[in-house]
Order: sequence, then structure tokens, then C-alpha cells
Amino acid sequence: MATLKRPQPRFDVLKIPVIGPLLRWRWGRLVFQTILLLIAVLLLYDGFTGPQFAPENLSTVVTWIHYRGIIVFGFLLLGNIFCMGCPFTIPRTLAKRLAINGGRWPAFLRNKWLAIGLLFGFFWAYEYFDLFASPLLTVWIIAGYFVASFFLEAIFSESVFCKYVCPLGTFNFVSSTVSPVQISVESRDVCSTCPGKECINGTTQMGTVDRPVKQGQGTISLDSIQVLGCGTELFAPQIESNLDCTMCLDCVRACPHENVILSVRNPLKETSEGAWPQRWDISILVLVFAFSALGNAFGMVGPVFELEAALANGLNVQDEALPLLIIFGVTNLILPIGLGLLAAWLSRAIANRTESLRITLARFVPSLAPLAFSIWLAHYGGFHFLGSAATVFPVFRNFMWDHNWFFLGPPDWTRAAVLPINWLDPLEMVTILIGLLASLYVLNERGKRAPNKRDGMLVQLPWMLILVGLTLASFWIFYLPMEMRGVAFTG
Amino acid sequence: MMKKIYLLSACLICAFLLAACGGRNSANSGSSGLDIQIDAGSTSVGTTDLMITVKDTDGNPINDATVDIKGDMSHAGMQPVLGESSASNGEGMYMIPYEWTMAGDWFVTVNVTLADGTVGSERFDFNGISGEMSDMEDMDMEDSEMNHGDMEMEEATE
Repeated sequence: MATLKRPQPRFDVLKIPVIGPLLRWRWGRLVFQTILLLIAVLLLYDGFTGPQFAPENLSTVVTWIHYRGIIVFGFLLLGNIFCMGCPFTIPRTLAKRLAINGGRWPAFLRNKWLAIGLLFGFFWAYEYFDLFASPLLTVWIIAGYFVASFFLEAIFSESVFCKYVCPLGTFNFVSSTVSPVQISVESRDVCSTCPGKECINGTTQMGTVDRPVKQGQGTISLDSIQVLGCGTELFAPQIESNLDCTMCLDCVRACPHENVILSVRNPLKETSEGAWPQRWDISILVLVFAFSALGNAFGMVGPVFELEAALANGLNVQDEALPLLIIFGVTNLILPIGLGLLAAWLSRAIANRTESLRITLARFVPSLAPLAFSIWLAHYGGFHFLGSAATVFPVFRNFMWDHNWFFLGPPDWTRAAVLPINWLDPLEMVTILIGLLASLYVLNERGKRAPNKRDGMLVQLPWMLILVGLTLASFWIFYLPMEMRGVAFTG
Repeated sequence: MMKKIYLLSACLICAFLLAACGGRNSANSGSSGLDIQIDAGSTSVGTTDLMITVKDTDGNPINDATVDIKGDMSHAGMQPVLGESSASNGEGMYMIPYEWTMAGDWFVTVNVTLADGTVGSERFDFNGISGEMSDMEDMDMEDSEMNHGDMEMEEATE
């Protein structure tokens, strides 16, 4: 006798005592945002007024060591926690309330092309302007984020900054595709009969004073809630991907039926099973994200300086900008796009399919995400964070000491690494190998989802070569001694 | 509630901005009033000695000071290289064992504490430390001097 297949009950993070109610609370996000806002204010203060000496300034230490390290561990353990508490969106919310009738983002920009360009530009600027060595430039970037977020949200009716512009958000969106949580719903039936769709529309637009709704144990009117709907315009019951989800949980708070959940999932579910968007921009974004993981690390090892010098001599230029643009243009744009298209074309040819190259590319490109994330994790989380996170203690003590607040004592400059330094290399290699295995698993699963017949090992071979190539290249780069980019370019 | 949180945030921002008028002591520190010179035996990655010469404003060597150094790279996150000496060679020179742990741009902060408790501090740039390994034990003085000649070293102008 046949049995009906029932979906497995999903664990809802929002049902965890203390954490769940805090996240569901109307002001829950604001608590996280306020904490990060205060940290941002502290960084702005120290960056603008403190010593312009990166190792002793909180702005550079916290931004380039802790922010990057914590977010990658956040993706691994939970999800897009930075976007959840993003301080840049506090003025955004204010702007949204000021600009009720904002226009729509232009149709030709409603994709990831601008975000890809800005992400590329951010990585280039990071190296060219030595952002890691400049407290002042670092905090100007933070200030710029506040201003850009505010004005874009004041002009447009949707969360344009988060969805289409923010390079950090773009990085976070792709990283969170391998995170273990995702917004979902308890029952799709509830959503199908929901008249207001408050999770996307918000409660300010749909409420009627005389129509009370259930909220927790009490009964209140919709108009009194006034929670914004999803800023990036995702409809909770249809969400199958963390792409574009800022984990703001506005949908959770807006839902009058308490039907939206934060479900725990297999971290590889989205890339291996999910309905991945068959869009050029999304596929190219993942390719750029993957190869930038190498390009970003390559920017800090000896061979890149020799390459830069050779290019500068060949081009007869004294400035680093053009050589660096060429190097990053090749490693972060031309190589990923070229190899991605070549691999898709070969896979399609081997499988003897007639589908669009866009479809083939979208089928296999998600397999790069786990390995790419593991390289970022090894770099930002392993090398920088675990190798340096404790530096914040003496730097903060020094900050206090400089303000004549002596109760913490003088800085102990011997503190730096969280783990023994000689553990880091093996840890990074293991992380990347796990990423490779996860990617190979996803690749195989994606092959099974090809129409009509499975795309076998031979069809997957071009992608395997890319994955193995990325792994070997990352090993090579990670085992090279790090060299800091000189302030004075000597091309 | 929302207004209160905005108000609180605005107050905190104002507090920080007001505090900013004072700035940090280290950001405002000026000349030490001492003549401090530094010389590195090698400017390649590896071990070396830093020779620090301390003189008063009249050019007289100071031999009873305590000299401690803190070497940082230009970026955040590196554990500083620390050293200390209170043994002068009689001409105001203090030798401190040191290690350039990574290639790139370095800053060496020299703190001098005189016998009467007076403290002086100067920061020196060592741009372009070479990635080629060196070891002072295997290096004769001629090599050391040659390396030093290639190095760009200047007093930091903060």
C-alpha cells in the first residue's frame, strides 16, 4: 500500500527560548542594529580622530579583522547575520518613512550586474588604496555606506541599496546560499488564503483599523503594528534561496498569522536542490565570487608584486592603478567568466543538449559556491580572524588609555592570535578540502537534476577541473608567505 | 519607543563627537625633545639587531635610559615585535634583537624612558622590508650595510 510522503518537520530557530522571542519582537532587529550602530560610531570616531596608524586604530582593526571574520563564521553557523543587524539600514528605515511615494529602481538595473561591478571595484579599491592600512579611508567608506543607503532608500520605494547596490550585501547574499538557516513558512495553505500578504506588503499598507488580527497571545489591530514588509520583495512561501534575503525578519514580524519561520536546513540544500535562478547575472556573480576569493588572497603575496612591476614596466606607468586593474580584471572577471562559459559549453556539448548556454551554466555554477565560501572562510576566518582577533584587546585598552581611562590597565601588545599560529595552515587546508568535497557533492546532485537524463561524470568533468584548479591555486597562494603591499609602488 | 531609540542614538553620537574634540593622546603626541636615531642591521625578513641612539638636545649621548621598541606593520592584525634594552654602549647606543616577521612596510616605535622618568617617543618608517630571508648569524657586516643602503627609512611624520 502506497504511503503519502510527508515533509519532515523543520526546526524553527524562532522557537528557541529567549532567542526566538527576541528575534520576533517588533524592536528585535533594532537591538542588533543599535549595537552595531554604536560600534560603527566608535569606529568613525577613532578613524577620524585617532592615530592614523592602522595597527592601533579601532576602525582598521575591527573592520578588516573582526567584521570580515565574524561574518564568515556567521554564515557557517547561522546565516546572514550582518545584514540582519546592518547599521546602515537604520537611517534607511527613516528614509523609507520620509519617502513614502518613492519611485521604482530602473528596470535595466534590476539585476546583479551593478552589484558585480561594485564588488569588483571594492576589491580593487581595497588593494589600490591600501584600505587595510588607512583608518581614515576605512571610516570614509563606512560613512559613505550610511549616506548611500539613506539617499537610495529616500529616493526609491524598495530596498534598492541592499538588493542591487551594496557590495557587502552582494558578498553576504552569495555566502548565505550555503548557510544552515532560511526563511520559510509553517503552512503554505495559510499563505494562499492570506488576504493581506503582510510579509511582503508590510502592515502599514494593508491594515484596517476595524480588522483585528491575532498577534501572540493578545489581539491588536494591524494598523498599530506598522512593520515594513520585505524590503527586497521576497514572498515568504516562495523563498527557496537566501539570495536577496537580508534576514531582517520583517516578514516574521509582519505576518499576522505567525506563519513565517526561520528554518534549519542542510547547508547544501539550496545549491544542490534549490530552484537556482537561471539568470546570467546570478551565474556570473557566483563565478566572480569564487574567483575573487583567490584574487583577493593573491593580492597579498609576493608574485603579484612582481607581476605588477612587470606590467608597470611594460605599460610604462608609475601608478599601481592600471597594473592592478589588469591583474584583477583577469583573475576576478575574465578568468571566471571565460572558464565558466567554456565549462558550460563543454558540458552541453558532451551531454549533446540543445539548451541555452545560460541554462547549462545555471545548472552547474551553484557547485562553486561551497568551495568559494570555504576559501573565503579560510582567508578571512582562518588566517585573519583566528590569527589576529585578540589584537582588539590591546588596541581597545590603548584607546581607553589614550582617553585617560586607566581602569583596564595598559595594553598588552603580545596578544594577537586566537589559536596557535602553526595550527592555521592545516586548518585552512582542511577547510578548503571540505569545501571541495561539498562542491563535488553539489556538482553531482546538480547533474542528477538535468532534464531527461542525468548529466554524468563526463559532463561534470569541466566543472571538476575548475573546482580542483581553484583548490590547488588556493593551496599555492595560502602557502606563500604573506607580503604586505608597500605604501609606495615601485613599478 | 522608536523615537526614544533614535534620540538615544543621536545623544550617543553627539557624545562621541564632543569627545572627538579632545582626540586621543597618541594621536596628538608630538616630538619627544630627544634626538633618537635608529639603524637596522638588516632589512630582509628574518632576525636582526636594531641599534638605537639616544641623545639630548645638545647632542650629548644618554646612557642611563631604558629603551623599548614596538614594531608594527602598516596594516592591522599583526602581533607586534617587542624589545627592550637598558644597556648602552657608552655612546648612547642601545642594541635590541629584532625580527622582521613579514615582508612589507613596517613602523618601529621607540619609547625612551630617562632616569628621571622623562619619556620620549618617536616612530620610524621602514618601507619595503624584503621578503628574502636573512639571518644575522650568517650575515657579515658588509652585507648588512649593503642592505641598509637599499632601505628607505625615515622618521614618521604623524
